[in-house]
Amino acid sequence: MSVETTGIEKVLISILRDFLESDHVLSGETNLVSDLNLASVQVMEFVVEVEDHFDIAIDLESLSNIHTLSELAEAVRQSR
Amino acid sequence: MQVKAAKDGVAFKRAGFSTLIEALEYAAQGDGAVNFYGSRGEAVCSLSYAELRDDARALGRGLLSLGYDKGSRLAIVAETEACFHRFFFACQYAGMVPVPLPAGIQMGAHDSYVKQLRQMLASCGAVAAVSPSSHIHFLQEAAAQEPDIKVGLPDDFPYITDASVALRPLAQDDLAYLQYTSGSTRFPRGVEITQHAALWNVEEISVNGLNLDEEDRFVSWLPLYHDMGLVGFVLLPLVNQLSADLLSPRTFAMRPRLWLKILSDNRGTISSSPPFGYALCARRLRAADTEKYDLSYWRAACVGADRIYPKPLRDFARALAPAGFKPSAFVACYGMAECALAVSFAPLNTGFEVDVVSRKRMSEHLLAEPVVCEDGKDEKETLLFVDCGSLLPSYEMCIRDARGFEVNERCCGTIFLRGPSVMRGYFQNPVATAEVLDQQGWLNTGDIGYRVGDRIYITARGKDVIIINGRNVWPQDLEHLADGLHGVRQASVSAFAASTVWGEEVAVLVVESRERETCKREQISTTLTARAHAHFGIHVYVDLVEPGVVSRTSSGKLSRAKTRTEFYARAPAEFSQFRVNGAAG
Repeated sequence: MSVETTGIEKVLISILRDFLESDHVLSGETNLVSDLNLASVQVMEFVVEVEDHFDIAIDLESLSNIHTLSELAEAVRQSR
Repeated sequence: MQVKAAKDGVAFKRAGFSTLIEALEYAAQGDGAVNFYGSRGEAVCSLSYAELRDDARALGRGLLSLGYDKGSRLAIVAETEACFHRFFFACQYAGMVPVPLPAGIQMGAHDSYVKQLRQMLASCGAVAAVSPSSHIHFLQEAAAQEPDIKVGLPDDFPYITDASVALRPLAQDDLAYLQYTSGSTRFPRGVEITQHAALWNVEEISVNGLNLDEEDRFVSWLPLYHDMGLVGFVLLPLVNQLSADLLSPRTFAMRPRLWLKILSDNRGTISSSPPFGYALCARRLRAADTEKYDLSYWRAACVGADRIYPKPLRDFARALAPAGFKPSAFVACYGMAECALAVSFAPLNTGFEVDVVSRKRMSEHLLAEPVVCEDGKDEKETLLFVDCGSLLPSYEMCIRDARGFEVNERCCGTIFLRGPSVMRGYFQNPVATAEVLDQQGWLNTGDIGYRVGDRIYITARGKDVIIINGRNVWPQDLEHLADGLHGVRQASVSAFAASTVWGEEVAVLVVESRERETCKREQISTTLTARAHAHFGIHVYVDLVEPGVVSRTSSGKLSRAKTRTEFYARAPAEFSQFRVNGAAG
């Protein structure tokens, strides 16, 4: 994993913290869809925060294949 | 980009069309247009009804040139883009039946979305399918095993401007479209709506429901593959020669305030949402926003598609009062795809009216016994139901008990409807059709409700359908998640919706298991909640029970209603405290 992706993951984790009530242990392997009890509309909200933070747009096809935090970080890297 | 509004190029006419083409050709003489907005609220395309007519004719000739039979189906991935309108009406000119396909995709949902498309393509027997570039790869993957289906981008279909090439317009008794809102994802059912049924409903909505006039303007983020989006915000404005401003449901979910901005910028007068849309908006609103908006033109804020709870609507109205939003603009309505769209409308300009009834009498005797609402009255003793108004004039309604007898006022029963907007049936599915439509034309809506005078109150939607955040989830599909899971008794799983003491609807999965070890029991719960998130984007509450707890009818079928009643009686302690993460807002 590149240094860049690791850096992005850290930013993603800090954004994600605001959406979680309890202290989940978050890592690159965290499954955003199934590990966190987030409703789909909250996942969308999180993606918006990420897109706005990095000033990118993640296309539907990439989004539909993202499950984990590290996959999202990789998609962010590629969109920049 | 200039955003066009309807002017009086032709005399305003809201009734009397016999086909959608007739309505389009009339609207094309005026200045009405459909405006599409991008993900940041920017205007990206304005399609006048005149341009729509010309494009639809040219594409209609193109479809005819491909040799498709009359009545064959063209599937359209219903992303909120101009190509949806173009191909929907091209079908009308080419004598083909348009089938809107869902366009909503969740994170990580690649496989389940492709599967959904594949099942719908098979169910409707599509000869061709079109998608904007955003969704084309999903569609290609879905149709990969079906080489006979022509799959393409809008530009892949011939566009023939030569007016001498004859068209093959759909007639009054032909289908107008197939709608796949109803039914589970595993067993999709296409609702057959004829031209006559669609136009009849649109006319009654225009005249009796909304009393439209030439100053009205439509704004919507609703999906075009849903009845409310398709009939309410594609057909209804067009049949009335009125302009509509559309943004995609995905844009709305990501940036809900854009809905209000577009309403404000365009002085929108008509816009609808299921309750969760109002709640989402209110939650994401910032104090500084409200001053930027002028929502004083918004005269009909329709609320439907879901059991209506008053609180989120009140929160919305309170938050947007500074922007000129009037609580009296709320219009509760009741409808379903099987009736084109609408069945009843509450009166305009009055806001929503609530019936407060005894919770005990309702749960024990299915009676809506009114309770005098006093301050401090324990909310746990009462239930609130919103007045969904009176029937549109052409419907007959009969509310029946479990034995099929009509019930009295204020008694709950299953709602049966009859009238000219009722569907012809489910496409190529006589078994499913016979389950809901009888020989006399009565449609069993599966909805439970009661009436007071001519007013309708809905107490539960669908036979069993679970509605979470506006999303319909079928219990069979949730129960299916437990298939093959170690430690779970096969076919002893029951899913239903239950409301928490906070008034939130939660999907509950009661699962029989002989497993004793705590960690293995936890693993079953975790796996099921993860699967529910992955497949449906909702959170489920898993209740592991001893074998024999899940109720069955005498013939051995699952009785979800009974299991649900027993679940409430058992009231697992942690369920009363259960909250969907973050839903508190």
